[in-house]
Amino acid sequence: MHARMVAALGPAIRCGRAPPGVPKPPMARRNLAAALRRVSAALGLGLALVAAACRPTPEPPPPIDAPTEPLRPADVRGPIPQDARVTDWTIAATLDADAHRIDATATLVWTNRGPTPVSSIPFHLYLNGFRAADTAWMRDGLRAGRTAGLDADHAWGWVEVEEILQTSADGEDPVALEFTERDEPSLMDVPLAGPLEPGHAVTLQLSFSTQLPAVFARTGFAGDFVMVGQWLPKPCVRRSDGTWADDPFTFHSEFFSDFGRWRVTLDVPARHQIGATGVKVDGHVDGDRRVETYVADMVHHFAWASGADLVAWDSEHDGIRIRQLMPPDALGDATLHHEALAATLDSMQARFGPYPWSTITVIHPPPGAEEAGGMEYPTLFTTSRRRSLPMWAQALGFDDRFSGAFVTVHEFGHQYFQGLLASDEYAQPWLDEGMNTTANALAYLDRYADEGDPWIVKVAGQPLHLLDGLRVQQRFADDLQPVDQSAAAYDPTVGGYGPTVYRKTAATMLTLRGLVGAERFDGALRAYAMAWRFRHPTGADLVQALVDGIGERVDVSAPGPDGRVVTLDVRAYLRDTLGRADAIDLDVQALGVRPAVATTGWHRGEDGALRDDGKPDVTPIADRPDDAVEAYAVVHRSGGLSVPVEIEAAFVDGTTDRVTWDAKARHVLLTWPGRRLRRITIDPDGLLLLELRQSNNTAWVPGVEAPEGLDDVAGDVAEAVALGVLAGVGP
Amino acid sequence: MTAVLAALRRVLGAPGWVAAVWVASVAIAAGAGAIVHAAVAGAIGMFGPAPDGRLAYGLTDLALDHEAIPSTATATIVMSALLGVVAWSLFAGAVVARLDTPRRDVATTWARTLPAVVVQSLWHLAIRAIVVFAALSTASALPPAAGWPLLWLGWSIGTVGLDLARVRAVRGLDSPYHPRTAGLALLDVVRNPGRFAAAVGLAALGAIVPLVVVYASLAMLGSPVMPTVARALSLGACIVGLWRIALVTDADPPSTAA
Repeated sequence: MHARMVAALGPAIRCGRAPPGVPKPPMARRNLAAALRRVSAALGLGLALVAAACRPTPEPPPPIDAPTEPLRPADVRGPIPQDARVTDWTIAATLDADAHRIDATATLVWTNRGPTPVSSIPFHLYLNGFRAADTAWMRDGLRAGRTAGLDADHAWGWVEVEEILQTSADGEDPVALEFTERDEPSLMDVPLAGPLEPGHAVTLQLSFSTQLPAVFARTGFAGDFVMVGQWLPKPCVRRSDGTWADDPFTFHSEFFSDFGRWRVTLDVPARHQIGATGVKVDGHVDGDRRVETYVADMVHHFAWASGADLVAWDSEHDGIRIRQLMPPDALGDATLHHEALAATLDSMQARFGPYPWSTITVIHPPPGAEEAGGMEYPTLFTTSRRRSLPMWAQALGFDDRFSGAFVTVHEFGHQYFQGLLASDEYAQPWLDEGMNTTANALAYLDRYADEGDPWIVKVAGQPLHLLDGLRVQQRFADDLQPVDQSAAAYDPTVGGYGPTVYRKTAATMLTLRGLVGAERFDGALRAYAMAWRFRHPTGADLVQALVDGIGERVDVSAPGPDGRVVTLDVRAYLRDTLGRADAIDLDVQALGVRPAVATTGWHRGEDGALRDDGKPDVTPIADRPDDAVEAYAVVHRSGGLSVPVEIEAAFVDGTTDRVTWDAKARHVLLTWPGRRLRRITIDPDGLLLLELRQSNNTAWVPGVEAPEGLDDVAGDVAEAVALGVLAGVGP
Repeated sequence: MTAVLAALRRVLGAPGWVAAVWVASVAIAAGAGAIVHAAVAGAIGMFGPAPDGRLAYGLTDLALDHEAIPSTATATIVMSALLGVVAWSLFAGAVVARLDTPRRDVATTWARTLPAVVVQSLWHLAIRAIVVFAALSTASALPPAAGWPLLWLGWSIGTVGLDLARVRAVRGLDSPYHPRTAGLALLDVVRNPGRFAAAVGLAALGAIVPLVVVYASLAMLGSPVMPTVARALSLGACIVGLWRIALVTDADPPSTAA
């Protein structure tokens, strides 16, 4: 194009220079040609930039039919304890997308699995936690800044129960029940018409409406999208001792319910796509409304999402249908999330038993609804976008295995820890969040097994590894408060919930795994998972399962020179690490080479006379023979937790020796007669993930040849950065 | 192209000047490195990294344990940058005098024009701050693929504008202390892209050297050759910078003799 334009302007104009002897064209034509060249160059540059910025959007694969049954075949999923089924729900819900309101009726059949009759059932009204500024949740939520960006016009959410009737099993003989909301509105009490004997069931008809807030914490709306979780009145769990787990909904606490069967009919605008717990068994579009029915079995909640402009991406893994619902511009992430989900499914099925349900739904919240991301519900979870790095950045060694993928790994992991092993998230949040984080780490270790401790982030090719990341993430909270306490005991102003509940729990479990051996630990954890499927385990149940599987006391060292073996008391370890606000901190206090005990001087012989055995040896250490010296090291425990630890000594002759210390005392003096020490490293294999500070774990004897230290590295980096900056401000 | 290479030949024909600029940079940077080295050595005492070579984690662990170290490192590098700015502002006139055509008496010209060069540098700093703010505001409204190149180009043009202002101060223009000189220099670069294209190109190349050096320091973390690579890149940046100044002296016809 450029050549034709230049030619059209006359033969004399050629790259701005006329051939010799030919008069130059007038100034105006020269300027026009120059201007045209500049414009075409700019356009070309702009087009190139736009082309580089645009990436083709992948097309979703053909849809896969929903399974017909909510559970996988019995020979795949294993047995289900029938007494675990407590609730049976039939719900019809209609979404008013303009008012962001759901009107619903529900039939609940609740079975008394407890030891004594029940006269009243407490219910959770979780969404009432968002009803006012002075609810238990909002008091802490506002102070924690979780409500930053709250939409003042749509801030509040609630669930309002209009009527509860108790009927016979076939719906006859209705009796209106007088229910009472407590001072904390996330709970209400429903007195029954008469006492309900153990093993018997009561049928309740509920009418309620749910007002969704603009989403700021998991549930709510954003534009034409709704994420609907914990949206209905749900009976509290009755513990085996007959007491109720009727705890309020607080900032850090999540949810606790019984297993049951659900049949839910959703009526939404026809333009919406629906993603829901369970499998779709019926669906049709009637005018401007879409009506779909879902069935789920042996789940403790039914959550759903719907929105316009959502595209379905279906895939399958191990016979389980996976449906991802996402805005079209997120389709590029679908493969990444599928691969992360498939790898996690493989890891968790191998470790914790078969995934029992036939389907998984993954919701990618559209822009504006990010606060709905990162949350788990039975057979459905919400994930997050991957922050993709451009190809050139990846080529330069910048990469991560975390963004987007980890959320999917973590939220799917909750299908087991909390979905299957339905622990009380209010009383012991570590039992699901911490154990899930443990499982997530194991899933990464399984997926990248050939790497040992896999990298999760790379900066200019420099890796940061998974287990190091776990250490870093516990910082500033390692001795702030104990792991094993209720969610309400964690004040957001004090902080530390995430590092303690999630990371310190995982570090506790993975440290135990390192100390006792992977096989023992993995076997014990699998036994726990298989024994407590579809149940409500407690922390004590987990501890007992680990003790039963690993053993009360485990040898963690070979016999020493004195024949003693260092053992780990597993129960005491778990009691201390989970129950105390304490940390492991070990450091090298002193090390070096000192004179060996000599035998010179005057000694009394067998005849009773004194004998001169020579003068003292004043030779410098460096000049003495090896049998006249001994290496020594003092290792100090400053942290409160005492856990057996391996200590590696490296000697000048190139050999090494490892010693296990039980760390019960505050320090230990180690000696190696006839040896010359070069280096001491505490926990050389990095087993103690509960020890956060490792900068004081390796020490070199002064004067020996040591590799480049961190001071040298830091100095070199500082010099290089300064050179770079000077190049920018200099000539 | 002939003129471009001729300018490079003039620079390579002044190896002492190249060496002086480079050695000054290395000296300042070595001082920064020594300070950080001492700070870290004092913090870690007899401790060292684990033999498994996890340097990235080791440095992270160190920074989290001793929060003064990142602060010290940052302050040291900022001071190095300020020292570089001041030193270069003071001696830029001498370099221009050496590279100008015809070559000038360096000592006399430098002494005479030092105040003007410093004042023009300061005026340019103020103008560039305004221009950078405007460019950032514009770039933030654009997609990154367009915004970052725009910023890069704008910064490079600014660098050549500063060179031109200094050249004119050395050549003894009217109003050597007036901000108009700095402003006109910048405008002349923008209005005459053909004359200053090569210089802007070298300025653009020079603008990415800091990123390349920082990247190399991370990518080669712990490698014994990393300091040598950083210094070599610094030498290259010095040559490119002086080459750019030589091109600016050629691109701006002298209007007033010194």
